Amino acid sequence: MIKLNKLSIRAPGFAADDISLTIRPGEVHALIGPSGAGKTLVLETIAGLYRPHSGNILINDQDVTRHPPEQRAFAYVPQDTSLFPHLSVEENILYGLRVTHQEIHSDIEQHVQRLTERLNIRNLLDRLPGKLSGGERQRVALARALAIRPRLLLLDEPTSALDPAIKEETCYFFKELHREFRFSALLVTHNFEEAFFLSDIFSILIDGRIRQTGKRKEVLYHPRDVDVARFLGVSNLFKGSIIRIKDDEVILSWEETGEAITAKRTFRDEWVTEGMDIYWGIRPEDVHIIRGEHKRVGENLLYANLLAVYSGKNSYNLVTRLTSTGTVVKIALRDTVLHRLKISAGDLLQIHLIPETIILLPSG
Amino acid sequence: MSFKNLVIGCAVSIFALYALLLLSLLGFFEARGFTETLLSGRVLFSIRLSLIAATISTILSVAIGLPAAYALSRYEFRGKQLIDTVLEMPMVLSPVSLGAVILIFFNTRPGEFIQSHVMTFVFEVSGIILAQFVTTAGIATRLIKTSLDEIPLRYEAVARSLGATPFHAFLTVTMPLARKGILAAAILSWAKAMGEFGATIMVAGSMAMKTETIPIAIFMRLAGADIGGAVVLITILLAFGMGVLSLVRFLGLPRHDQA
Repeated sequence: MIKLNKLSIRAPGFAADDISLTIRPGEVHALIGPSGAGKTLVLETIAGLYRPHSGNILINDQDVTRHPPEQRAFAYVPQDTSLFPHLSVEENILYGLRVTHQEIHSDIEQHVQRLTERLNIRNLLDRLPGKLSGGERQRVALARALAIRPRLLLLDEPTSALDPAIKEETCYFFKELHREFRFSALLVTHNFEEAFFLSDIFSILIDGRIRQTGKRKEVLYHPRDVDVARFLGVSNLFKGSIIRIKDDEVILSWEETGEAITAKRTFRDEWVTEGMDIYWGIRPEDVHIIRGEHKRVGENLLYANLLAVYSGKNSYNLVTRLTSTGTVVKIALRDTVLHRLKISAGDLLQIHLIPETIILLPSG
Repeated sequence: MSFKNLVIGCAVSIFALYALLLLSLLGFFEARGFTETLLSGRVLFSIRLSLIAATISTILSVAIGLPAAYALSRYEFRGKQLIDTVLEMPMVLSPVSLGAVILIFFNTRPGEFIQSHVMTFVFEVSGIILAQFVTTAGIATRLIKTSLDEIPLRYEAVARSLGATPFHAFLTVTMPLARKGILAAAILSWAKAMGEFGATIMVAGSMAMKTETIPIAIFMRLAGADIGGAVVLITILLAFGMGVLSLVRFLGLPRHDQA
């Protein structure tokens, strides 16, 4: 088990504090945060390339904070892979074993062979890194890191430089590899879709602090604060106050419109009390459009004008404005749904904010 | 005149200047006298002495310049800026002044102690090597540092995360990647040492068959009004110099203008 205990890092123009997280054996932990949040610096500090200002790095309760990188066995794969350009793919993969003078006995040989087979790079062993594609470079870098059977694999934005098809393929290679070798890894990325695909547990790093750690559903549907919610795609964020709490229901007043909005309360919302000022939000994909012939009256139903429709990769992003106050509400629809609804800019829509998907956030 | 023609004209005029100077040697060039002078014991001695001294001083310059350049390129330490500035001293100070400084040093207590207890430099071959080393060490360090600066730190970071000590990472990753730059620095330092005159004559003097390197021999020939002999020696020096620069081009090594 690897533990970061209240790690504090200082660098020119950057400070991170109170970085605490635990990586259990065989777990892939993702450290997610916006670009410029200092994720790489945190990763390189864990690798031993920088000394933290305070705090500890523990491997099975042994403090390795002051150990040099070569004594940690944390294999580092930088964003650009940094394959050694003067060494062949095979020499790159065997680098860690050779430099530590490990005898390449049959067990290690088998391990390396399995890695190169699973990563589909056996036919590349004689090539120089300069002759490889982006996806191949990433796979070779993974093989080189895993060849030494590291205690922890440190991955910096592993697919950010790859084009979409190769990105997906590399992610599948990683998943397959992890299923077979069960290594522990810490992945840093600004791409939460990549993080959700590759990792088991997530820590959100914003402004040099870990704001939240949790599993996928927890961070996605119960972000701890407004910044985390915004970073994770909750782009409809509004102010409000709690009017009433009844069983598993929370009735809140939408400050901008004066409308009463109903939200479902879970055990994570126990901090909410009546009269409290809060922020609340809803993901664009959780705002539903009621088809013309089914218009109805009830909770969380509002009228809005459709201002614009922007196309995305698999969905459309709709910008609407409430007829009552002009407040902007964003909606995301899958291609097929939009075509079925037959709507276009200028139409009047009835929208529904599904109570189960409304996120309650502290205001301070 | 267009801008392009103007700048090309400048380039051509620099070439014309050097070509004119070299062509002027032809007036004093005699094929028969050339072989005779070239094969004379005194000239052969000068060639051998220049080659040996330049090679030893280059080896010393690279041997200390490489680790020094690595320290300046990779680490932050007190006095780094000062050292970096002092590296340019041989370029700022004329070679004669540099030689004079060495000579003055040997007239101080520590200098005298070295002369009498460690090694004699003044008017000795070791003085030539010292003068050339002092002239080239700073330049070699600066050139090697430039090559090391171009190698991303991340390679060493990865090597160390895979188990390499800092020394192993340097030896197996950084040095092979900088090898062309290191070789270019060595070759250019060697060429500079071969042509070194000012500091050498100040420290080692101009004793025939003892401290007479090729540049000193040229000076001696001219002092004795033997222009033909000087032309032969200039041709030899030119051949070595141009040969080395061609080698740098042939090997595709980076060339640095500072040298």
